[in-house]
Amino acid sequence: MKRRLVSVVLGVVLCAPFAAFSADTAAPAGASATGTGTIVFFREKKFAGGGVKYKVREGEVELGKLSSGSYFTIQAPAGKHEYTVHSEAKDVLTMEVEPGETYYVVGGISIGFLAGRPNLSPSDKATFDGMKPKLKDVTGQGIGPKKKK
Amino acid sequence: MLARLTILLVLASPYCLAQTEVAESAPLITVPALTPVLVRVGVEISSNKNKPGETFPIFIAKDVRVGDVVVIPAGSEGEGEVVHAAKSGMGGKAGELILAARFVRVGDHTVRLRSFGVSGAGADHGDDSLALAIVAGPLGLFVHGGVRYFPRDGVAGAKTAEEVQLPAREASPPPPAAAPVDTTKQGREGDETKTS
Repeated sequence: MKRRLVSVVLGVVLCAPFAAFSADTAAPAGASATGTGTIVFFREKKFAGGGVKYKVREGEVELGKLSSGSYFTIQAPAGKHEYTVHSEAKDVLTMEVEPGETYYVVGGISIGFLAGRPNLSPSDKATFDGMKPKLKDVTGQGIGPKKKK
Repeated sequence: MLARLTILLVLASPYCLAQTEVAESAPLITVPALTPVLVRVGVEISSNKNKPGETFPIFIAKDVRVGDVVVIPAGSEGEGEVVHAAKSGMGGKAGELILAARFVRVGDHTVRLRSFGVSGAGADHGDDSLALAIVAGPLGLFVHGGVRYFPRDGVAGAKTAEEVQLPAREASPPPPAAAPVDTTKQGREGDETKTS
């Protein structure tokens, strides 16, 4: 009986430092971020490539349609996102959204072999604010299934 | 004999643990989430050389204080990551770069960072490319856009990602006289850095 008591007490003594250590390291260091951020997609009003419109997608989901002189906004969950536009070539913009932040993405068109190549690039608030008076808000327009006539 | 030794160990162990805790428990200061920090990048990052997922060294550029107390001294090391890098290309397409500051180490503590304001594109030469294409046809395709750089020792703002408890630190010594500015890259395409 005495020996058993001694071994139990020894076990407690030997385990105590590990218990203390695990309590120190169990802090929620990798807690996942929650919430959403705002992304503003915009395209400058230009004559060159003005007739070309393109959709911005994430995977198969259509987020909006950019024509010359337009913009739309989306709310994106925090985390990594890949936004694509494509015609004869595909362009992918990877972004990391953090809760409560606003990001700006400028759409453009560069020349290609057969058709204009749409492009998405990171931009900033100052650039968007400078163009905004000439841009049309098309948030939620031009996406989804086509209507049958 | 063994029983006495065991009892002695049991009685002594809390004091041993308490002593180690006292040694580590300098008064802790609460650093709120979203505390602004200035981050210096340790290497040059280029949209044409670096790839997404690559990491790079970062340093705290200025003491971070809570009230008058320094909690993250200037020079503390950490790590950043390239989130997006796209090479400049034909048709005047500009190079693109998005960087993230991941964390900084302060003693034994790791402080997660967020909201690193470094993103942007180099010079867009799409209009030049189009103009040349009108005059010289397919030659317009061979106009390249500007490369996007973030210079070594370039500084941008970030924020702490979560509330942390840090011990007070000694303020870092004042920085040495400003180093001569490297002018060899001035005027290079896309050298300008935008912060958003």
